[in-house]
Amino acid sequence: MVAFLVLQLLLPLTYYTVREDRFDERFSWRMFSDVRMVKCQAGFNRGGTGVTMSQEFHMAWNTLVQRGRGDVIDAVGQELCEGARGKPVKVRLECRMADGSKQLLEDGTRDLCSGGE
Amino acid sequence: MGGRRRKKKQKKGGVRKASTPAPVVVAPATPEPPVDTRSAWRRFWDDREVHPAQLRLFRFVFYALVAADSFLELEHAPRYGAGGFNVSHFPALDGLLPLPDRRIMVLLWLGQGFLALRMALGAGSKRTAWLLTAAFGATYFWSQLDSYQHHYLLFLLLGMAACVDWNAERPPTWPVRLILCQVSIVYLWTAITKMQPLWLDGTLIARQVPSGPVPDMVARIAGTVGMETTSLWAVMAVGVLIAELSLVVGLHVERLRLVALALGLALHGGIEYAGFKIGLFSYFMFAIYLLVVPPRFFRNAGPPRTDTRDAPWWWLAAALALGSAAVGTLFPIEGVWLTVALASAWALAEEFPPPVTTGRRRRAWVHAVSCVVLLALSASTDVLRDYWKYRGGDTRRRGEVKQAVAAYEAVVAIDPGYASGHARLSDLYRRSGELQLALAEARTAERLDPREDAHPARAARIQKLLGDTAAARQSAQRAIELGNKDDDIAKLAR
Repeated sequence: MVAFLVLQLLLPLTYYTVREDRFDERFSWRMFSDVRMVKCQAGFNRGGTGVTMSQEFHMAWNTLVQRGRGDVIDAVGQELCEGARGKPVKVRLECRMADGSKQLLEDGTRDLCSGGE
Repeated sequence: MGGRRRKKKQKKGGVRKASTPAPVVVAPATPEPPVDTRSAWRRFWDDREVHPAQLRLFRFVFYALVAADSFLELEHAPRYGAGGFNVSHFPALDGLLPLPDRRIMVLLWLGQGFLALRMALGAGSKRTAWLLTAAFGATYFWSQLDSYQHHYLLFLLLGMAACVDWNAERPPTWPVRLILCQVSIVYLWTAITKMQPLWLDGTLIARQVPSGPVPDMVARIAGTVGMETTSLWAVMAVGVLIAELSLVVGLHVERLRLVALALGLALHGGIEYAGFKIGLFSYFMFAIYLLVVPPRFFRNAGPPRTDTRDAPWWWLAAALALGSAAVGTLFPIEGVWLTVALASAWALAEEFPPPVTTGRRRRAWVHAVSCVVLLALSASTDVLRDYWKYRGGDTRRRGEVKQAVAAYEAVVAIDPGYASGHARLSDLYRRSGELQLALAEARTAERLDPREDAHPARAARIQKLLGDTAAARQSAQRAIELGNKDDDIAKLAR
């Protein structure tokens, strides 16, 4: 029981320490946080052509992409790569933060299928 | 201290005895209170005062809410596995986990409804409570489509509630303490989240509260007391933070139970009143606060009404057969028959060995009542209609017209008065070349919602395709009268 409580107490701490994705607040009890106000615009591009997200993914996934959720954006990118037949898949991701500032998280130059630069 | 004083008194008595001649009358000795040798830690876990009636009320409300929550989730089932895509809460395991499927999600959520109602109505065993926890965990962790923090909390609480011995005369209270500790942890971290300038200056709370009664009230009060609205939001924000920090400790201090109860109810009542879209979260918190009510409020509650009357096997068989047939027939959703079959199988499995705390008669009733409750939820909400609407919407966007038509046919069969459903079905019939059917649906939509210009406009376009220009002109003119401004409709009206 003690171990369970300590785990529960410390798990949210990982959000502030080891977890890289600031927009992923799962398991951290950050109710009504500033991250909930973040709104991202994601433009996926496959072989130079824009991807219409609603034709390929359920709208609910699109909502998570617009919240800047890293796991989901990576998985969407990988899914598009699988159907890309060697064409590059890129994403431009720009987010408006709670304080009104804008952050460009992906500038649309990196090929998600190559796994690197 | 009290013990020391008593020892002194006994010493005095002993002196008196020695000086008094016979006959010696020995006063009965004051019984020595048992010395509590337990550590403070042990007492913290074991000494939470909860009245058995309070615990039973909590069980009913909490599990009934779980049943309602699971039922309300049904409409989201079509998201799962749509387009063959999923990201679980543990993406590293995605290669190993099977893809979720809407029918399996229906099975899990509807199954949770049955299990939770069984628990709420007092016929569920510990096995049922653990199975419910496992099913809930599966639905949550399988996909990030459900990222509600309150569902994660609910999973933890279900596990803790499964440790409660609901049928014991004086159940051990450590699971109750554990539930309250978990809630304290949530309050602590959510308070830490708020320790930042955007919250403290009121910016975040002002932007997050949906437009409605609360912003109006804040503006009114600020005007009355001559304060800046932004300052009042800041006061509220700091108040929320202080309330959450107070509850971290207040939930555990016996003397502060009433204060914590009032504070918690005010906090969550306010959140609910503000209209945040957080599902049943506030109601779950209200349920938890039942455990905070001082037990003296339940002292007049009678003992549990246990019904251990036995009944012939056919009672249970009839409840299972009739209940399952009713839900299977009247619940227009995929996977329902498999769910009721498994729910019945579980009810039968619970008979081996039969629980001693309830009789078979009671267990048969509980299954029948659970079926009636689920049917009542189905009849009184739009959940099942929306299940098909969302399925239709997704398949339509994906270009799967045949599946979309089938989904929207289900929508209008469930809710024949839903104009938007008829309109969407009309569009889909048109896309699949069924023009007469498309026209009929457009007309139905127009009849149901005569003030919407899009319906006669839709009819006009179909009539044009059918070659009926006179009817198309009439429909287009009607659309324009209702305010339609589309160029093609203007042309048709001429």
